[in-house]
This record gives sequence, C-alpha cells and structure tokens, in this order.
Amino acid sequence: MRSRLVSLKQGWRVGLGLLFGGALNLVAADGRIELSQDMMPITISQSGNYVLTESLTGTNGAHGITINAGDVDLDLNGYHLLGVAGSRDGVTVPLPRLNLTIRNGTISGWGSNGVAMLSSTNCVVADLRVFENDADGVNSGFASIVTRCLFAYNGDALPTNGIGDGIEVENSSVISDCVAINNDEHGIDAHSGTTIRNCVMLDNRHDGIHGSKGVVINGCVASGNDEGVEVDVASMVQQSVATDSLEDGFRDIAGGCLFKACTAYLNGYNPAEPFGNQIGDGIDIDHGSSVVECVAYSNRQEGIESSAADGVQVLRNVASNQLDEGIKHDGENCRIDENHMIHNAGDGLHIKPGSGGTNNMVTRNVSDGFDVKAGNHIDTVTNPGASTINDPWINIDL
Amino acid sequence: MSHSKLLVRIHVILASAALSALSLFAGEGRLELSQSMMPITISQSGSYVLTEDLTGTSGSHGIRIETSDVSLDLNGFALIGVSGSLDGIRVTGNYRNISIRNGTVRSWRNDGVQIDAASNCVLMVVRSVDNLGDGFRVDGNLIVDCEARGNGGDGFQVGRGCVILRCTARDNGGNGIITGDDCTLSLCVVRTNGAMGIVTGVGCSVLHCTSRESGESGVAVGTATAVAGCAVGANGGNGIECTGGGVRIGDCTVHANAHYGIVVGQASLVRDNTLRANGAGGILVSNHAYVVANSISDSASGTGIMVFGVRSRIEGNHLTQNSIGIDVDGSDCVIVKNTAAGNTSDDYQIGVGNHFEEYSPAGSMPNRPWVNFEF
Repeated sequence: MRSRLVSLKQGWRVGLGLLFGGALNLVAADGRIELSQDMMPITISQSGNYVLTESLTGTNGAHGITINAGDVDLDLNGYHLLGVAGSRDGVTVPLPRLNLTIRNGTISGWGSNGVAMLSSTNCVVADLRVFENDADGVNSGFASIVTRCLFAYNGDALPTNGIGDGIEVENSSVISDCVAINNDEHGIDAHSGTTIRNCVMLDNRHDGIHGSKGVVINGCVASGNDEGVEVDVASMVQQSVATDSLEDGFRDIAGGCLFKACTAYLNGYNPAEPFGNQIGDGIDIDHGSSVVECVAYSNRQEGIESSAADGVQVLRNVASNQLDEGIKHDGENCRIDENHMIHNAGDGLHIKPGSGGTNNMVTRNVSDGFDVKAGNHIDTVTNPGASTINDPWINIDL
Repeated sequence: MSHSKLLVRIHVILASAALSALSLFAGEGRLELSQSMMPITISQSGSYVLTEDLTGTSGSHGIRIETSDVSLDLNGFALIGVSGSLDGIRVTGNYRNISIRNGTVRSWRNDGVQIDAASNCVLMVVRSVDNLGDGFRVDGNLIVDCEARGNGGDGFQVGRGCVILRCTARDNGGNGIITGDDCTLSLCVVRTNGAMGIVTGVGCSVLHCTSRESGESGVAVGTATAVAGCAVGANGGNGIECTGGGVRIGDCTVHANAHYGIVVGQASLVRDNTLRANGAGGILVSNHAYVVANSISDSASGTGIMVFGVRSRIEGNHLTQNSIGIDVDGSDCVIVKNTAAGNTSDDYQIGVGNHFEEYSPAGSMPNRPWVNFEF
C-alpha cells in the first residue's frame, strides 16, 4: 500500500478525520487523498484532490459523499459508489460551491440523486456511468461541463410520477458525447443557453432532450422517447435525428427556433393508445421559427406542423409518407418555400383552418396535393409536363 | 480444461481473503493484473489495472469477465494472443457496466474485445489490432478514441444507441464500423477495409467522418439516417448508399468510388454535395427524392444524376464532364434550374411525363426562371 498517513496537525488538513469518526486520512503517492469504505459516509470539507481506493457502499438515511467545499476533484478511480435502500444522494453538494469535478466511475442505487449539485457553478462531470438512482442521475449547476457519461434507468420508476432525469444541467452548460437511456423523466434536461452535442437519448419516459431557452443541439439522436427533442424559445437544433417518439419528434414550445438539417421518422406511433388517438408530428414549431432543409418521413400525423404559428419559415424540406399532411399550417405572415411534399396520406400542403391561415407566401413548392385556403399568396401549375413556366414563384402540383 | 489449467486460472475476488495474496493492489486500491494470473477471470465487480503486458494461452480467452460493474484499465499495456487463443477480452453473460480503457488488445485468434453480451459499456482509448475475428464487438454505449486495425472480421460491431467518437478502423477484413439503430458516429476515419467502410442501422447520424478504399461501399446507412460533412472516396462499391427512405445526405465530398457516388431510396434529401469521378455515375435516385445544389463531374462513363423513380425533384445541380448529365427514366419528376456542360453523350436525357425545359443560352439569358441550362 503506497500511502502515507497525513498529519492532522498540518495546516491543509481537510477535516476528513473529524467527520469520519476518527478514521485516518491517507494520501496516495501522487498526493491525492484516498477515500475508502471505512470512512463512509464521507464529508469533504476542504478543497483538494480525492480518489477512491475501493468501491464504497452507502448507508440507510445518509448521503454517500457530501461536499462542503469548492475546488474539489473527486476521482472515482474506476470504482463504484453504491447506494442502499433508504440512502439519499450518492454525492451531494448542499450549498453553492465553485469548481467541482466528479469523474471516472459508477454511481448507482441511491435513494435520491446519483449526484446532486444543482446549485454549484463550474462543475465538470466526466466519464461516469450513472444507473438506477431514484431521482436524477446527475444534476449539475450553472456552467457545467458534462462529457462521456452514461445515464440509465434513473428515476423512481412509479408510472404516475416520472421523476428523475438522466442528466439535468443549469444554464450555460455543455453536454457532449453522452448517452441517456430509460430514465423516468427526461434523458437530458438542459436549462437555458446550454449546448448539447453528439448525444444519444433512448427510451426515456419524457423527452429525449428537454431544452429551455436558447439551447443549441447538434448531432444528436433521440429514439423511443415521449418526445424526441423539445425546446423553448430561440433554440437551435441541427443535424439531429428523432425517431420512434411516442409524440412529436421535434417540438418547439415558444417559437423563434431553428431546426436545420434534422430528420424525423416514425414519430407519433404510441402503441399504448388506440390508433385514432395517436398524436405526433415529425417537427412541430411555434411562432417565428424556421424549419430548413429537414426530412420528415413516415410520421403518424404531419411531417411539419406549424398550427396557429405566425411568421414561420419552412424552407427546402422533404415531407413525405406521413399518415396525415406533409406540411400543415394555419398561421399568418409565413413563408413556405421550395419544399418537396410527396406521397402523404393527407395533403402535401394544407392551409385550411377554421381561423387564421392567411397572408402566407407559398412559393416554389412541389407536391402531389395542395389544399390552401383563399387569402394566401400562391400560384400553382398542375402537371406542367414540358411546358414553359414563366412564373418564378409558382408551385408545381403533380 | 485440465485440472492444472484450472489451478492456473486466477479468479479475482476482492472480498475473498483467501485469494487476496494473489491479488495485488495498486497505489489507489485498484486490483493489479499480471502475467502470472493469465488467463484471468474477473468474477467480482471492481477496478482492475494491468501492470505489464499480458500474453494469452492456447484455448483460453485473455481476460474473461463474469460480472457487472467492472472497470478495466489496460494502463498502456497490451493483451497479446497466441496460437490457439480465443478472445482477448470476453464478457460471458448478460452483465452491464463494463468499462475498458487505455491499452492494446492484439493477435488473438478470435475477437479482440468481445463484450456484446453486456449492456451499458464504455470503451476509451483501446486499440484492437491484428485479431483473427472482429476488433470490437460491443452492445454499447460509448466508444471513444478507439482503433481497430488489421482484424480479420469487422473493425467495430456495435449495438443500438451508441456514441462512437473519434474512432478509426483500418485494414480490417470485414466492415470498418457496423452499428445498430440510433447511433451517432462523428469524427471517425475508416480506410482500406475489406467490405464496407461504415454501415449503420435506422435513425443514425454520421457526421464529419471519412471513408476510403473499402472493398465495397464507403458508407451504407439505414432508413432516416443523416450523413453530413463526410469525405467518401475510392471505395469498391458505392460511395454513400441507402436502400431505405428518408435519408439526408449533405455537405459531403464523394470521389472516385467504383459504382455510384450516392444511392438513395425514397423521400431522401441530397443537397450541397460535391461528387467527382465516380465510376457508374454521380447520384442514383429512387422515388420522391429531393436532389438539390450538388456538383457532379467527371463520371466519364456514367450519369451525373440517374432517376428511375417517380415524383422526385432535381433542382439546381451542376453537371459537367459526365457521360450524361441527368437521365430520368421515371415519370412525374420535376427537373429544374440545373446547369450542364461538357457531358460527352448528352447533357439531359429526360423521359416523357416529366416536367423539364432545356435552354441553351446564345448571348442573352432567358426570362424563364425554371429552365435547365445546357451550355
């Protein structure tokens, strides 16, 4: 054992001894403070660099490791921080702290969160596998960085509650290269201004990604979730794929969003619902949003829906093979331009609501079915064949 | 297995005081694995680290994992197979949470890393080299900075829902990387594999990858997959292909593949790609596709865009020095705003029943915004 005793007389004492009921503090050869089972439950009250030397099992009624200091690096060292029945958080940070890192191991089986540090700032969560905790897998505060983690089967597993995200981060965080599977709430719950890149979300009970305002999502795949990706105002979703969602593949709830180069497939088919009650579009947008160069294919309802949304742009998309309309719209002052809408069970483009749905520019689209109410700006030519078309804005109806 | 070999096998059991003499702990408590323990069976959860290169024995896997929650750090060392050995690392049952990192697995007579029976696995910075079977067989879910090279089978065989990041697959006898549904591949490089470069299931994302010199197609993807920002060249089959529908292929370069550059099924979007010198032609299009703003050149004996389905939209593409620029055998297609020049047989061969108007400018430009230019 290449460790040495730490003198509690030293000025940098971490206070561990006081809180372990007399257990000695050990420091590894590289100077890191070693944490072992006989210290459990552990409270870290001094900044420093900590490393597990074995898997640690929790106790009933207690958190596993409580961090009461900033500037703490906790290396699980490949080990497992394992909860027991009646335990609380695996790692908890009860007061706001700065600069916490938790990395390199497994956290599972805790009676509440795997890691709870939502009030802390500048946290790093890296290389963790976080399983089967009864609340969130990890929640982390403002400006967190979360990378190369796996979050699975977190939540209370009660059918009516749905509590427990895979990962929840506060504003202005970065999540990359993570997987969230079968969590009881959202796979990823990202507060405003967060960037999410290259993540996979599978079979979570609520949204694959639940994004707040101004979230940027790139290169992600969501499959088998309630909704694949749901974002708030002014968010951007690019080069991402949503399939097999029980409701919408992509949805923005407040407008001003951009969906670009995304793919939505087989969303809206919920086997728990009678066929006629199944709802779900490929991409569902709100006021002032744009859908650009996306593919919506074989979704249960519309490929792209912007019901009652004004000022949207729907440009250069493919919307085919839906069980309802390719593109459905009933807002005002919108631009629907250069889309390709073929072989949908409903209309290719449908603008025919009970209210609204006027003063839209509908240009240069190709479809095999336009159903556009009066009061919109649309010229259409049917089956033009080899004839000359002089109208640069005309829609082509096949 | 003989009795003597059984005695040699070390079952590493952390909780067992009887075996603790055989189990060495590293400075931070990790269980050390050394040559004297080979072949090794890990049957207790924990954190393990190699302390030296380990060489296998005939008839055995190198490290056999028979439990969940194992972290195995190769610590920069190699796990080396010998004649008659089996897999380098093998998970034997439906376990989960296996993490392997930081080392090399080479020269095993079956697979290098064969852990596809387990779920929720992580591989980081692992090389699987020169094994007779596959390099990696993994159910999921994170594979980062790994290399599969010179294996007899596939480089990577990966299950559903994986993140595959910055991996390379080179000189493998089978496919470079083959995945299940719902995976992301980004920043991966595959080259000179015997079969296909990258193969995906349904609903995947392939971003910023390169695939070159595969024996068959460079990238073959499932329905509703997105391919973007990739460079695909010199493959023995098609460059990028999808037999299913709803695929999006954008911002790629596709060069010198033996057959078509891009082949797509119905309702696909193919835009902003640059294709050059693909043998059979540039883009092969099925029904209901939208092919827009691609540049396609130098398929000297092929067609720039070949359409054999119905109701596709071919718009704003630039076609030069192919045998034929655009050839539409289907019907009800819309072919507009394309430009074609220098295609040796014909710029446009468009069957009846399609919307198409051709114009050859001679000084003045036409007041017909949808025409296709031949110049």
